Amino acid sequence: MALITPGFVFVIAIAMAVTAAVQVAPPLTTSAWLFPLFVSAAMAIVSAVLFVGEVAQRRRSIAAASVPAASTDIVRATRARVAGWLALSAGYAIATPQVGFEWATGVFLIFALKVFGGASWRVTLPIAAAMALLLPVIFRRLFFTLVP
Amino acid sequence: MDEVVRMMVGTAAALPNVFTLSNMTYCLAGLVFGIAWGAVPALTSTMAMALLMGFSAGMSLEGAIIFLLGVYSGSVFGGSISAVCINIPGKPNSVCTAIEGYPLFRRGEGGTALGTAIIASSVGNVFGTVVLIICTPFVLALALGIGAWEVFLLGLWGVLFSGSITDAPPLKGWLAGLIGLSIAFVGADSISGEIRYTFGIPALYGGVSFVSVLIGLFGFAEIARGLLFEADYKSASLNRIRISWRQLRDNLATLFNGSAIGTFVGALPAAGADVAAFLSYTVSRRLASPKQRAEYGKGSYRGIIAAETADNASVGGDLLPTLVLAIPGSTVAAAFMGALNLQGVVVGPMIEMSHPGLMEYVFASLLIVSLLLGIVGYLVAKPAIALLSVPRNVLLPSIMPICVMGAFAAQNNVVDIYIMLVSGVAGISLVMAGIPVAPICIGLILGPLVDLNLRRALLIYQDQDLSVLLTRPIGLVLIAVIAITVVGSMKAGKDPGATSQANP
Repeated sequence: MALITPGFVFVIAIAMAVTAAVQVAPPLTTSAWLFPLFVSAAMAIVSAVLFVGEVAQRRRSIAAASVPAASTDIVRATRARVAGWLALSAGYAIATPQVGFEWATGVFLIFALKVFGGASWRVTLPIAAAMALLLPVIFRRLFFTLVP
Repeated sequence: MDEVVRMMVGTAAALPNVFTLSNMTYCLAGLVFGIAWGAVPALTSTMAMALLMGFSAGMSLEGAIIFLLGVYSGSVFGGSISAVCINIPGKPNSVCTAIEGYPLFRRGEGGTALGTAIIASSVGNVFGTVVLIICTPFVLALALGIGAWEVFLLGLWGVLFSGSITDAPPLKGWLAGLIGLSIAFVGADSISGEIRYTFGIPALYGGVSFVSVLIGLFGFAEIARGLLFEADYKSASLNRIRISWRQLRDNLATLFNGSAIGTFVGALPAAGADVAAFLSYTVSRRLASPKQRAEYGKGSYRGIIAAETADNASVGGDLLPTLVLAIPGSTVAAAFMGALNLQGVVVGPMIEMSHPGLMEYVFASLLIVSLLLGIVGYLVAKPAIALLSVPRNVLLPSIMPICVMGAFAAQNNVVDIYIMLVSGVAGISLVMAGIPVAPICIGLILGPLVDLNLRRALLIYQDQDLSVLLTRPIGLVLIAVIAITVVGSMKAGKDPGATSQANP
């Protein structure tokens, strides 16, 4: 991530800078794109420095990179959990407007508490049901908000 | 001086508005919620404010203000509960309290340590509020005297400074600040109405919702971090909370010093309760007698008082630049500012004219919140310890629906849920890369201010040589401050390629 993230930010910053450079028009001082051009250029420079610094640091430490098999297993398991959590959350966010807050919340919490929380069914089901049914009531009555 | 008296009289006159049934209910609810929330490790003050600011849009303006101030003050104190009882600081500002409080807890003095923290927090909050009331007229007069160019420089410094004071190397902090500024560009330009970086999505014409980004960065990402990367904590119990008046009497100077340091640090843009607590703790240790110094690390009431007064005094300090200059004193203050924006209140030097009496109401509310913090803290701290027995793996997923609702509630817009999700994923990636997310929040809230004032300044001087901008004295001072911040941070000798996990 220490390499991927600055690299990704660099690509975005370059795209933003190019867009701003194309859009900026005279008189330069009053253009809405002048400051975005400066900021995106600065962002590209900083992310490039971080990227190059990270590459250099990795090269320096490459000689000592004998990673035990157990630690790579842990990394793989963590990555799988992160990917699983992100997929579940994305599914929840996308499903909420489609099927309604109550249903989406109930299903999300069953998966989240069971799979990621390792909770028993005796804990999972009451919490999922209570949150799915009570939260909309609290939001509507207490905070006077709409529920998706 | 007349202005200070006027502000004090105005604050006193606003007190009856605070003492209505609904506002006092909001106040107590905010304090109880804040303390309980703060007591649980992994649930930060910013997260609480980010989640609740969307809901506050449905409250009355007065109710929302006192509720959020209660949450703010309560959650800053709440971190000390888990710090003392299980040696896990609920918030970064409670680290010093954990260092001194947990040894006391193990000696059977946990109740006294927590009682001391409660009173110190309340005193700090009151001190910060009083200084806020006294200083506001002076800062307001100063703010009205500066032009668009100086506001631009001040905002830019705020973004850079927020990047410099994180645990991460300064380049990573600044990159985060620049990302925040870039997100702020999305939408229609405030001067010409020109559409920027919307990718043809009409829902983005009004800009990216600050609430959604904040919930994504401090809610979604923090839930994922706590759930996936952090070990569960153990539970604890406490017999009785005791207030040791002797300890408070013996450490009156520390109480005052901590309050003064906390208020000053809080008033600096982006420097919040954690910096205040660390600085005050360090100063109190330096000023301690050899006998007192020997107690540090083994359970020092003096250390707890120093840290707790400072972090709560920073609440008042935080609100000074937030309300008067529209430059948030911390990420939590940025969320408070965002909540006021949702209510149609634009903070800044003109607040007295656009919303007469509002600032006095904020001061009166904070004063009452500060005074009640001691009482509510005493009553709620012990039940809040019970929350520590709820497993993190059960608690954190249960907060996710509140994140979704919080993002949606601010504008009743489904797109905001997606923005929250994207921000959360980005937040996780950034934290894993060691890039702090707090400066993004500061950059995002200051972005429109910085952009608008640069454009204004350039428009004002478009017919002149732009070098005239460099002849303005306050501007020159601010340019020097920016240069010192940049050079000083770089000289601190942090490696730009360091991969350490940043503290968000």
